[in-house]
Amino acid sequence: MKFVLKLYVTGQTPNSLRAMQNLKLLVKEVFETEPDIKIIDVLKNPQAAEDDKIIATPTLVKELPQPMRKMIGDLSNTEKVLVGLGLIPKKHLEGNTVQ
Amino acid sequence: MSGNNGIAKLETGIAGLDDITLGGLPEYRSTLLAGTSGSCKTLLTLQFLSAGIVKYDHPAVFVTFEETIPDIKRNINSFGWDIDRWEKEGKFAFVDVSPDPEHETIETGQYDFSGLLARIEHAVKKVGAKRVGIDSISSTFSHFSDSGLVRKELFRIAAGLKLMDVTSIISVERTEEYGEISRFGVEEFVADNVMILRNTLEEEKRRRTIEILKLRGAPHQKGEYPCTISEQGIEILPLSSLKLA
Repeated sequence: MKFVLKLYVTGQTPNSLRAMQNLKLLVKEVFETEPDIKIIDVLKNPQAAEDDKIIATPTLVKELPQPMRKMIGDLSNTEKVLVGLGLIPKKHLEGNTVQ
Repeated sequence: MSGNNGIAKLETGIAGLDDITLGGLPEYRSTLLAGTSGSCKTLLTLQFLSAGIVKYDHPAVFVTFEETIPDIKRNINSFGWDIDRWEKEGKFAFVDVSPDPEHETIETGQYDFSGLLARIEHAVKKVGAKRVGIDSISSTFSHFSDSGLVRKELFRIAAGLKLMDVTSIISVERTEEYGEISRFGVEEFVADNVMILRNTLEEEKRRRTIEILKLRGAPHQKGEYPCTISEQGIEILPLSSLKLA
């Protein structure tokens, strides 16, 4: 299963640095095949943030496999990230999805 | 045109509003527009932007937190504001922050709204905006679980706007016609300038009014003024409604 991910960050802010670090750890521990990851800085590429309707940063967008899902925050809650990526079933989550 | 104690005002171009504000809205500042749903907050905000383009050639940006862009365009086509053309001419830009019901969002840790601020700055630079409308920030609270954080981040947006040399209207939702200014107490961001749109029913008669509650220490007319909706949008009758009674 090929993963295509986009991580929207804001420069080198603390939340963004933590998100990049947490994502690196995840890639090592969780993914069998190397996912295709793009890191996008909203300060340098605000048009991409507009196209993906990004409100909060950091935001990890799972483009593939479907369904597209957004995980906002510094990815510190690993369980929720795994649910967002579809790697563990949703019933683990005590219903904190928004929208 | 500057108010008589140094607060420069931007003429809005909306009939009656420039009268009751004695010259327009405080320039380069944000004015909060509070109103219950159905009080035409979105209409007045868009009218502020459209009047700016038509009468003063002021480019504009509209940040929509609630209505989708197709809905907005459909709701206003009876007023003849040709937003499609203005967009093509690079005089108007949307920032679409309306909810995205198909795609789930999961909170996984700490975040802030710097992404949204970057998008607003980008749109303002792209069209060289003089006017910005933000409608309505109250709906942000339903998108995110931590309302304390949302309030802090909305303060960031309001503060960020101040650095962009734009005159803006930020609309907020109210639940009652005569009570708190807004549902989530967000008015402290732009406490300096507040307008209230009301839509009351008295003896089966619909009554729309606008009140200028505060204008950053600058003089303005007091009390509620009747408004009507025409093809030009909202028309404000500068005769004080108290005199009419």
